[in-house]
Amino acid sequence: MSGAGPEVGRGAPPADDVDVLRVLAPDEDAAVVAEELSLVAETGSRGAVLASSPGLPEEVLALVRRGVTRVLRPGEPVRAGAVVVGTPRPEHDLLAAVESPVVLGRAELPAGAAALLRALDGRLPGGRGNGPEGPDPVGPGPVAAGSSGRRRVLLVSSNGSGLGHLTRLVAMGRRASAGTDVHVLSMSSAVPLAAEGLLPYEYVPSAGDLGISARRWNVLLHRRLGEAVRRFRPDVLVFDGTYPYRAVAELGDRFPGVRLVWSRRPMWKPRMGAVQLGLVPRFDLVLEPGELAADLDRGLTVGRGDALPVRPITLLDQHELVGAAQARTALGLEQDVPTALVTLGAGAWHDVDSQLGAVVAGLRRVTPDAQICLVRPSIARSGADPGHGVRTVSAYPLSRYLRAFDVVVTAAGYNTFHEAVAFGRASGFVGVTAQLDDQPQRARWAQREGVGVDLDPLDPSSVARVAELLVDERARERCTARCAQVWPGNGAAEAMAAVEAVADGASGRELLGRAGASEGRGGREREASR
Amino acid sequence: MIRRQPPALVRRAAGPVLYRLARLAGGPPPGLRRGRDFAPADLPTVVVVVAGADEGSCAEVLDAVSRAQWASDAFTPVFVVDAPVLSPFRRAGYVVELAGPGGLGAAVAEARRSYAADLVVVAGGRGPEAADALTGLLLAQRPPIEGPVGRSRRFLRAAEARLR
Repeated sequence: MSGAGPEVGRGAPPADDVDVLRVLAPDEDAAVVAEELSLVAETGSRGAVLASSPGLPEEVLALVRRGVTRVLRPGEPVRAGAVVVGTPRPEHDLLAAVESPVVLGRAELPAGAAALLRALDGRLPGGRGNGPEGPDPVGPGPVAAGSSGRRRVLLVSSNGSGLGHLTRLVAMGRRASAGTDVHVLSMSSAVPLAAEGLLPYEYVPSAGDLGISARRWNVLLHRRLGEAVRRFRPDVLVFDGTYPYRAVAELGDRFPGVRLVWSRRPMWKPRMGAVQLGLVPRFDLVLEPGELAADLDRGLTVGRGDALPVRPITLLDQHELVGAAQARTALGLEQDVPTALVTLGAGAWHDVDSQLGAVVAGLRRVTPDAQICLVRPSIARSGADPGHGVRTVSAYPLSRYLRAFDVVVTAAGYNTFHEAVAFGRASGFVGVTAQLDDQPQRARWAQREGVGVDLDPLDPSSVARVAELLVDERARERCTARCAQVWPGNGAAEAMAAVEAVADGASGRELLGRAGASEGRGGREREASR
Repeated sequence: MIRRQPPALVRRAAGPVLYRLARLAGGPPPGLRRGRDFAPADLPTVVVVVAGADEGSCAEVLDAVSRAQWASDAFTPVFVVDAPVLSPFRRAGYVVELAGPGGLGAAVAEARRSYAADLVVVAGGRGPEAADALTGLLLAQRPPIEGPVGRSRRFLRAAEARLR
């Protein structure tokens, strides 16, 4: 190998003498190595073998005689696309005269390794380690729409560990009509959990997951998004996130045939987010998932008239939830015991200085016999039941089992808040300080409308009000009835229908106009019904 | 000692210039995560492919890799898995990529490109012998480039990381 390592990002590398150099150790299975060398030749690559001891096994010699591979002498200078070694020690001594951008070390030769090698082999000679800003193999230019006559929708979600943006997109994607193919590209590591079995997906680590700067990461996303667009050939790309990445916002310049939709949740904190609103003209349509607490929304998205409003979006509909008894059985909970679900992200349940600890302690004080359930996140950690009446539950989507709980205590994030109301659960809401999401206003609205308790300030008296819900069935029923009154129904299907309309050629202006007309009609109907 | 972030004006003015210079110097993106117990460092990246990934094999591979890291601290591992088993790697603070519709080969090629890796290790085997062999391979990784070129490169990349 070259002493200075691979030269990166400095123009086209010189041609290789061989594509794959296989280094053969004395204790390796010659038949397996011979099979690999044959596969290299089958893929049209030039292979060679370098042995660490004199004399080659008969299986390899046979290949040499047939011209399938050639033999290199130790010390013979050679440039190789990839070097494959089976065991580390002796081979590295042999590699002094070998120049290669990649060493494919194999810890063992497991079953199926030959197939893997074949898969890698086709890729190796072309893919030099150029860093994230290396040349884009996809390149710019228009992308031809799918020729099958089916619509293609690429759903792109932000975030590194949460599920909010991704869940909204999956809610839409699973309601696509039969003539639409949907693919998910997510920066959430929970994408296997959220999309497995529902929609095809891929994962791109976020800048936060990688620890690198946004500047470096945007280049990486630019290339990977371009590759996904080339491969999937979507008619429409839907982005759900509060700040469209540069690679998303500029996609229209690279692929003019792809129409862009921004799914933009409202309820932003006052005066925040002006910069991303400047990106609206880059999108063909802005979709606004409905917000129950809209009349307390003081954010910059209010009154702009640039977004198509749909009803609030939840992953599931009422009929998809399982009954209370069945849900408790599925989660391993006792029947006939007051049961609360507490889903507050940070903190330890036994630390009363944390929000989670304060809520758990408060509930246990008032209802010592209750089951207090904490979420054991399937995406992050696992653990056993802590005891002392505190249980852990894990399921995805947990909303399917929401009827197991008499009371829910949750952060007032968009998804959990709307699910709690949609499914009529008596709830306590904590308005967590989030970057842009104005959660305290949602919690305030819930209290005002009688659908839940605002846990601000989070003190023994506010927790006691939630605990009272846990023991007072009539109070819970009042909450549930009020939830049914305010819940307008799930907007996921209408959001997806709007996306499909964009795929079919409708303009954003046209859709906004239609929505305005039906809003006017709906308004008059509501007025008449009062 | 607590290192203060440079003023916003300095970051805005000098950040893009340093980014371009550091790019020319090559190497993986500065700041790339290296595991919970290891601070980001300017070290060669190794792509560790976990073929046939499941919780058990991932735990074995993680153990082998972290042993090599503790022994040499000479490389930054980036994992590529062919099954949706991301959480063990994320819990341990590592970068992990999941092979997508393009297949494992495409994912490895993309990981090499994204993180400027020059060593790819395929960890497909099970058991202590495979783990030891994996650790051995990683320990054979060469140290970073030395001399004036290496020093300049490290300086540029450290400066970029400071002004991100």
